[in-house]
Amino acid sequence: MAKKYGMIIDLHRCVGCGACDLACKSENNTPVGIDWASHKIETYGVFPKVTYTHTPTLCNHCEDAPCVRVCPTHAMHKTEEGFVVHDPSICIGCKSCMLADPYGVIFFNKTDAFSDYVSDDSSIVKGGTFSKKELSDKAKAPFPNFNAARGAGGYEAIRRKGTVEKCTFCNHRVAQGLSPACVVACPADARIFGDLNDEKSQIATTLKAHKPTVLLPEKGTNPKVFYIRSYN
Amino acid sequence: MSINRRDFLKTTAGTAAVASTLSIFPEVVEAKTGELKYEGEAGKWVSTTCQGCTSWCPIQGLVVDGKVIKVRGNPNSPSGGRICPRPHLALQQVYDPDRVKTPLKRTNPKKGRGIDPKFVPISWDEAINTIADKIMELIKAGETHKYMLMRGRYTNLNEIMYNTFPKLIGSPNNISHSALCAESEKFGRYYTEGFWNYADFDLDNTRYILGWGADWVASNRQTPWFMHQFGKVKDRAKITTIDPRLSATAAKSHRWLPVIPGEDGALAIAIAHVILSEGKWNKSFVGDFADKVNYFIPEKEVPTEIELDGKVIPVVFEEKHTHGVIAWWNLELKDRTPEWAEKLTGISAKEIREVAREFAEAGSRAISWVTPGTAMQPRGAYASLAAHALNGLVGSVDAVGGILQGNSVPSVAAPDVKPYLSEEIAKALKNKKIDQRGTKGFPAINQKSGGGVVTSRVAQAMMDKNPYDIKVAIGYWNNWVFSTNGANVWEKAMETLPFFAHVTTNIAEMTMYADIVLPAKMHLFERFGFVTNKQNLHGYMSIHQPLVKPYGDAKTDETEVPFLLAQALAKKGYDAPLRYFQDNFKDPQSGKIPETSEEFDLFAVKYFTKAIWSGESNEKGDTINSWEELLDKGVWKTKKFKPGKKIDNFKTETKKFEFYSETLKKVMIEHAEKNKITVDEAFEHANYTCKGEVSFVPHYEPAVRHGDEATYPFIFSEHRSRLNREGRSQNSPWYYTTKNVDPGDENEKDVTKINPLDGKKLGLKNGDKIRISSIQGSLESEVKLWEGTRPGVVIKCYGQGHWAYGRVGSEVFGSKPRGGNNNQILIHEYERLSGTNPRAGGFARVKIEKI
Amino acid sequence: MQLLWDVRVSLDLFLGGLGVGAFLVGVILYYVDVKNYEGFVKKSFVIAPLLVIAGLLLLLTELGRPLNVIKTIYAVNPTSFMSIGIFLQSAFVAVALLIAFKALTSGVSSLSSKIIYAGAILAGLVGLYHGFLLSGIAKEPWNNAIPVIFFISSILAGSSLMILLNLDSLENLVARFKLPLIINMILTLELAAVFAWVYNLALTTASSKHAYDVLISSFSMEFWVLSILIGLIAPLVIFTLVILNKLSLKAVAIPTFSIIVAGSFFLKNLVVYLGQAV
Repeated sequence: MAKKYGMIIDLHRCVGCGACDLACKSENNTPVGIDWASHKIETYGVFPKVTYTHTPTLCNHCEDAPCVRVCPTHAMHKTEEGFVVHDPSICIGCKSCMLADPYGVIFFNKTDAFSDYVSDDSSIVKGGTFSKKELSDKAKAPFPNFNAARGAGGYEAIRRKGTVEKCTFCNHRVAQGLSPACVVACPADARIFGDLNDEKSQIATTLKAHKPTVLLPEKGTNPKVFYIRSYN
Repeated sequence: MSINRRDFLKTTAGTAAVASTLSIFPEVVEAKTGELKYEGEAGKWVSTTCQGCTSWCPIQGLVVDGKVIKVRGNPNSPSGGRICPRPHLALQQVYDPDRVKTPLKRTNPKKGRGIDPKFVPISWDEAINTIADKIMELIKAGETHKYMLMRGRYTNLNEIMYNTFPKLIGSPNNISHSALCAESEKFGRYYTEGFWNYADFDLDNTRYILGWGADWVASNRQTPWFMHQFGKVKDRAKITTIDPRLSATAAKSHRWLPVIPGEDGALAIAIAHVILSEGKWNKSFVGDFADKVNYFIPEKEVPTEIELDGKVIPVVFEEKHTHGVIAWWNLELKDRTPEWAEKLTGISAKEIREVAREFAEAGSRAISWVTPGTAMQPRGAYASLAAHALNGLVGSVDAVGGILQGNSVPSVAAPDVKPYLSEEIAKALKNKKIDQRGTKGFPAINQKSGGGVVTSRVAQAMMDKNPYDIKVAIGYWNNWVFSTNGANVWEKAMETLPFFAHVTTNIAEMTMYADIVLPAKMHLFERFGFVTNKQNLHGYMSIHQPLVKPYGDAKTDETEVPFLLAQALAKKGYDAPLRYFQDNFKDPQSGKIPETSEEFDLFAVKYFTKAIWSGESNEKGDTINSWEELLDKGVWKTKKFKPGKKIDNFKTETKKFEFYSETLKKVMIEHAEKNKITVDEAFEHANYTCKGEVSFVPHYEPAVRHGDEATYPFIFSEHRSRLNREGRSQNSPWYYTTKNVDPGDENEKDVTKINPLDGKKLGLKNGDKIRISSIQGSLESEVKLWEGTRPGVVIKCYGQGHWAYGRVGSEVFGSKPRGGNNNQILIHEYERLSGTNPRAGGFARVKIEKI
Repeated sequence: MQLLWDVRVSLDLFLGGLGVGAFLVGVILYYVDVKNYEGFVKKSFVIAPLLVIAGLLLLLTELGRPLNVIKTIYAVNPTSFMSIGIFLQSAFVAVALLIAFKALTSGVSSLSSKIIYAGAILAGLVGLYHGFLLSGIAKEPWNNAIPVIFFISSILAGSSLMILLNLDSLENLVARFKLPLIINMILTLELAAVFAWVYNLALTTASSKHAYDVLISSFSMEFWVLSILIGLIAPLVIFTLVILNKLSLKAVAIPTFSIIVAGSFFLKNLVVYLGQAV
């Protein structure tokens, strides 16, 4: 049976720290303003009866993905394993996918990310502190902590100007038998990643044991990111 | 595809033992150290230590092609290898474009905030010689005590730069930052159970956590471990969080008690009152009345005798493992009803009773968890004492499911410096320390009068030249101009300092007053070092090692800098430090004498960690048999701490858990005698209101508030960010893109959280620009109306407001801050018994103006 | 509000709509009486592809990787209206250019009616496509009323534009067609479609109600005044007065047909923005 990957986020275990968001940034070389992994926060009630919730978010890798449906070139597409991924080489940058995506998890590269590391040679103290350019020159990399491994399988390790990008469920890592970066980085072990089609997998058994919810179920997208239990 | 347990074990054969016993890793983790083929040929996970907060977590960095590109927890860590958001930010810290890359010299003699120092690059040689000349001048003039070393964050290699080097050049003034940290928290534990340290908690078995300002999923200690455990603890135990702000932890707790800042002590006292008056104390730990009748009747003293059927019989309390419960009741608790506390704390009497009952019913598995939020207040020593004493009432001290001390880690002491001190130098060391510790105003009774540092007093002492003037100072890994309350006091003090050298990664606020700037290696990824700490009931030692070579010409502050200075001093005719270093810090493996600063750095860390890597400590915990193995594993941990052995063997005067602190009494009598005042006067000088016997039991002290209510209607309260790397992550763009993980805060902003009711009164709406002023100073901020704020209290996170540090952290480097530094409005104030700088407790009243 | 599609998209939909509207009005006159209306028809056939191409060029500047558009030829996604639309528009532009070329070189009468017919079908499909481009995204305000609203708007604006360009033959036109009556019918139809759209938003689901709220609160000027009052109701009233002989068509032709054209832009721009504001 084909693999079908999904993720559970256990909100009871989640402490809302954002380590997932940051681990994603260092894994996927996303520039400021583009956060494949992110979160929603909400405060409601009136003092002193106040409730605060934090819900980690990422691409839901929907079974019925609206972004895939509207993409004019199939640049946004589904793989056999159920990942919704994007091929920048045929993307025309029309942003239809972003408009169709009800979750706001697709991002457009307005500029060439990290180009400041190519051009910015200004420094606080001339000759005494670094500049961005000097650092990337010394590192011989687009920026010093650039993760070249993100470029596995021909994917652009840093997405150039003019196309969209989004969470890939760290397909480059999964291909190596590793969990996505956000899963490994979660200090609370709030995330479970695995094959939904394998009945014995932790994700499948956990889904059975709980009443999972998904974001915006009314959109009929059939997300593969599930949430269990409550934050509070 | 191979995502299953079996393959996980296969790929992580080396670390599987650790990981599986702790079983906290998800099914699939990264491959073990050095076997990460897909990351590239050179990819290797290397162990080191994160000191972004006080958790001091063993972590690993992925090194590819000479660069560190990712971080994760060290699987050998006692907490199983989890990290919080902070180490991720460290990637942007080590690769901060604004880092100092070469020594700098000040060319503008004028010093002051906003004044450009006009730094120019110089060689290490010139920089070190300049400092060495200054030290030689002091030696020649016979005033070596006028040298001062200021230490901020540190590794245990501070033995060189902080402990021995000042002594070797004849200065008693090695000033640490400890008083900015949490000394008054330790006060509570020391004067009840004789333990001047941080506690550990048996989370596996606890049933109740009463957290005093404890934001344990976000900050302070063992943070990633506590984050990992929170969900599990919540399944088993009830969690109550006391905090004026709906903190990250309060948001996930069963109960949130939004106490009025500074009134934590009243709450603790009232809880104790309920526990005793309702007979809910732990009888097997505290003991009981001989006749099993509860004589703790509100508003009445426990009688010494009663008449029963015409017979006079004495009332006897058979106290077991504690000391002075009757005294505590009679001197303080009897009148401290929940109704009394309701008015002070803003928490209803009903809720105080409920919490007291729930807490006491969990018995020895109930933890009263004191943190700096409750302790770091102008009169926080007694709040700390009172809140910690609750553990004594329920018998959770050193109990299964309770609050524990922990195992210590074997260490190697620094070699004796005495043989290297001339008579003159030895005499100079007898000078009083600059910080006025142990004086009337600053008892700093860390186990004895003047036993602790009064970090912030140094500023005033320098300006007043009392007890003398400081002529030459070196600071490292510190930024007190930014990080101490009443920041403007330090700004002025630094202007008066004739010569200052700063060893730092960034040009911080303090650096702006430096004559010489020395670029420091970044602790996490570039240098050697080690720390000892506790997590998950294990003591542990974690190593720092250079994962990458600094791009600039940076050196290790704690070893290389003093070695270079020692070499320079030797050339100039004073060779004691160099002899001491070279005689004592030969390579423990090869016996080689250190000739360069790099060698000294390496040999020193080997020297101080030898008790671990030599294998001699294997019986006490993990097995490590060589230096190389220590570098590979990165961490050594003790066996798990077993509770129960401390009871009746506490390091107090009575060996009991003291509600009536004979230990405090003894120290205060000594302190009073030393200063030729009465004990009551001693307390008065320390800004406490107590007189007589009540001083030695946990009792209520009115909160200190500076500024009159009419002019300054709001109480200012501050908190920490889960992204703060102790004020060093603010030049990292990721800090701002993720800032709203602190409940109530906003990305890219430094907001002030105000209850919507107060907002309405002031006519403020979200995003309005405001000026907040106290009697100390003011800052500019932006309004965030937020229900998680107690009305009457305005709350702001600490960390932003840098006017230096870098171009991300400041709006205009060197002059205009980004956001506002709370220390500009927090009053330059002390908790004098412990010498600490308060930052909590609402001691600054503020007014808010729309701008 | 994150504006992913800005005014360039609105302009594409507007100019493209003008183009197909102009083309279709040309087709009608071609079939009715090509000899009588030769000048008009010629203008229509020449201007139509230019307008559509102008719109497409503007759209290209909106794309992040315009050069990759060439790849849409082989990278086809049948569920994407944009993918289909690219083919439709290319086909229309090709056919319309051919017609324009022939009309210019050999005259309108030399055109084969088959190719005109093909062009008309393509123009109709493109006219519908403009709305489906949005409704295919499935944003709340971009529901299935939009293709109808946009198509009618295109026809209104395209014919109005052509009338403005042929004012000297206005009498000739009116002689055969009761222009005010025809235009009023179409305006009424458009008003009905817009009403259905708004009604649907206001009453259907929580999210559609939210869209309605945004429309009413943030876009009321653009919607009620520019799109409805000026673009539809004002011409309706004016033409009614013309029909009642209170006004002369000649006197009001220029301003009235102009506001119909402008109204089409306002309406389309409003819809493009509204979809992104909710």
